Amino acid sequence: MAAAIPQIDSVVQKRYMELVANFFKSAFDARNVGKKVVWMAYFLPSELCYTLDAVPFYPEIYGGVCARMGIVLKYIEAAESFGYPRELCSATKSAAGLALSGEAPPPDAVLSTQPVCDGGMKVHEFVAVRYKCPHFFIDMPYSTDARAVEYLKGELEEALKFLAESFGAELSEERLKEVMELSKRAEELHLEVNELRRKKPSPLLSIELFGQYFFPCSFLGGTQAAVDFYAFVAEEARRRLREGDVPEEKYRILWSPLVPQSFLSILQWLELEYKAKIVMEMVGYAPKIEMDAAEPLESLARKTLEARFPSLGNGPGVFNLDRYRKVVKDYDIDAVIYFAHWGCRTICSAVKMVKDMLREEFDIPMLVLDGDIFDPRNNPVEQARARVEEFFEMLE
Amino acid sequence: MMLERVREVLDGREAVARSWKEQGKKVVGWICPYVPEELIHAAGMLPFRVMGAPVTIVKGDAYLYPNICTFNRVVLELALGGRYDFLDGIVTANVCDHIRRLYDAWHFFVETPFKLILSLPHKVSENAVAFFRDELSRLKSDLEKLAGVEISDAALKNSIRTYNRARELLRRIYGLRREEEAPISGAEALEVVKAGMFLPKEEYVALLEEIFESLKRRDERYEGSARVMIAGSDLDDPGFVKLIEDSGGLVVADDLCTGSRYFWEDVDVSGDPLEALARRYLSPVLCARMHPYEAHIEHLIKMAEDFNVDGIIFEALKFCDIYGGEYPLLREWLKEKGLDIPVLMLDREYVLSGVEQLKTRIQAFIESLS
Repeated sequence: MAAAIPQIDSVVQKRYMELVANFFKSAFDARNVGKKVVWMAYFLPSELCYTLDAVPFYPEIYGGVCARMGIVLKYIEAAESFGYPRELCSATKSAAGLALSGEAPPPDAVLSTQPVCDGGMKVHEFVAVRYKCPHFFIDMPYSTDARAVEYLKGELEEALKFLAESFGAELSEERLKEVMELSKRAEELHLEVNELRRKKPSPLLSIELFGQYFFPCSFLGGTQAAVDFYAFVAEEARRRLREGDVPEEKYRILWSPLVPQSFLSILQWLELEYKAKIVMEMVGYAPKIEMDAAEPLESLARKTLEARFPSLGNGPGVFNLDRYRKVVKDYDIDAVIYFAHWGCRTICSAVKMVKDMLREEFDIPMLVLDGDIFDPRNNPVEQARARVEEFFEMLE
Repeated sequence: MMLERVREVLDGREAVARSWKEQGKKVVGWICPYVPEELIHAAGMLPFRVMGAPVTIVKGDAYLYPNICTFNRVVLELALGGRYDFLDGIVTANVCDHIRRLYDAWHFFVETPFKLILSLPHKVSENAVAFFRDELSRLKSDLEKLAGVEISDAALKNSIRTYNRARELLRRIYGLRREEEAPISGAEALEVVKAGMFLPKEEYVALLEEIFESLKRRDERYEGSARVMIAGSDLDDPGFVKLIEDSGGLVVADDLCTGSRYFWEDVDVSGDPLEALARRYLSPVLCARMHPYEAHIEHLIKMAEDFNVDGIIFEALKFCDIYGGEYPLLREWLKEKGLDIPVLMLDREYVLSGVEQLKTRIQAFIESLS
């Protein structure tokens, strides 16, 4: 099964695969070691769980691992057979299918929210019903100003109280601060890695982390493992630059916004064969965030709103476009490849807005690839390769 | 006939707005019933619900994407084609993934002078009410600038009273549909509710009073082989309801944002009017987008029981993840509660299409009920 994952000769990729395997293993092993499992909506901060020594399980992210391994379809089909629309996002359906299959670690509690999508929100409600477990909904405001941060801070505080109450655990302010100190450190190192990717030529390939440079600080935020991982990647990037051991780079590409986990061969082909290096993924871009461990919940609210929430274009379009402007300038982008994941209303409907802006303000071309992040039935690989080839011929 | 004025409004809703503008007054469009019309009304402007119309989608696909629901693509098609040029402003809320993106497209590509999207919480808590009250305060201040007037608490409360009166009359009219033989069909009821989304409210209240009195005296009665409730996504086409009624069912109740959800709950007139609006418009009854989902489903089932419904037609616009995702929850909820209410799930497009196929499924469902 694992052979389906495009592997390259990279210490970074090897370390990343170990990190991801250990992350999900901890959820599968949780019951055996007396820990609680919390099913989390995509992009809800893992720090909430680690503060209470619980283990977060992100079903959509686990679905992504299954997609990489070529075993996700059975979960998607289980959700469709149950009555979820075929048009629903495949990541969301994989989460519903995992709940229906009973093959995932059962939750002791569910934390849900609206972003990244309405479909995810409804499926997480279903997960709580299916497992008859306590459920708390974290309401995410549709802005990132001071009032929104204050509102989300209140929601996160309630969520922590809910988890503590559900698990009969004591909420420790000191532990929260420790977790947030680690979270802050991981954010700083993530920024450092992103900064190193700006170098020309860039020392890292997107395929080394399957396009998921955001993974450790999003899902392992608040752990030493995330800190160590980014420190390792940064050090390896510096070594490559120092020793001139940098992958060849003909074009600098921004991949937007999500990398299709069932379609990773296209990344490998782009970066290794075409030397079109993906120097940033929109989903992984993170601005510098003011985080202060002395104000842990405010910092966590800010991280959630400013780094995670808008990364798929969930926020207002004006905000979304400003992010593109910044990335295109900072990373000296030659072209954008926009993966229009059919199941995602938000991603697809931003196509024209982004494409027009890139052309008018930067004269940068954007290739739109239609496909599906998880569902292999909806990814015509050969057609996509032909379109990419045409696109690069045009660039030349 | 009492519904003549209603049909006149529906056939020429833009004419209502244009005639208002001829008096030198402004019109503000609203998308989705989470926008408190009372604030627009209190500023002396006409609140006007933005709806679609039968049209071929071309630009709507190009400026959004074909995986956005047809309601939003049709609306954008009309807006890009100049059909909403008479609007002085457009207000919506971050109701769903589709409306958020419609607003973005409107923001970038349609030249309406004033545009605003409200940050609308997904749940009801004191934290959420306080947050939404602040959002409404922002809206109030922007509307004051647009209208060039100050909205006093007294004026706002007056608007709330007018809207509550309309709501009360609509509930009374709906109450007549509890009778075994109803004096109003489901298609007519939808027309009556819809007219209120375009007409100046004072005129609408007077019209509703007249309609209610006429209905009480009406000899013509409607019956069907089964009493049906419609629930689900945005549905404003009386033709769809007529399709059900032509198939032998009588639509006696609904759980639609163009129907009962629009008027079922009043706004409290005591205390701070902005807080009262925040509380009312955060009601879980308004849409399945709200958490916890049980509150909405409980309301839906209570209505089905109150109106002695034999079966529910649950429709979801294609790509609507909120109602597409609500259906499995409804089914599980009914199973859990041991309630034997038949539900037909229909996937549909905003503009009525595939009529024969729909009719076959609806007829089979109604036959199974009767």
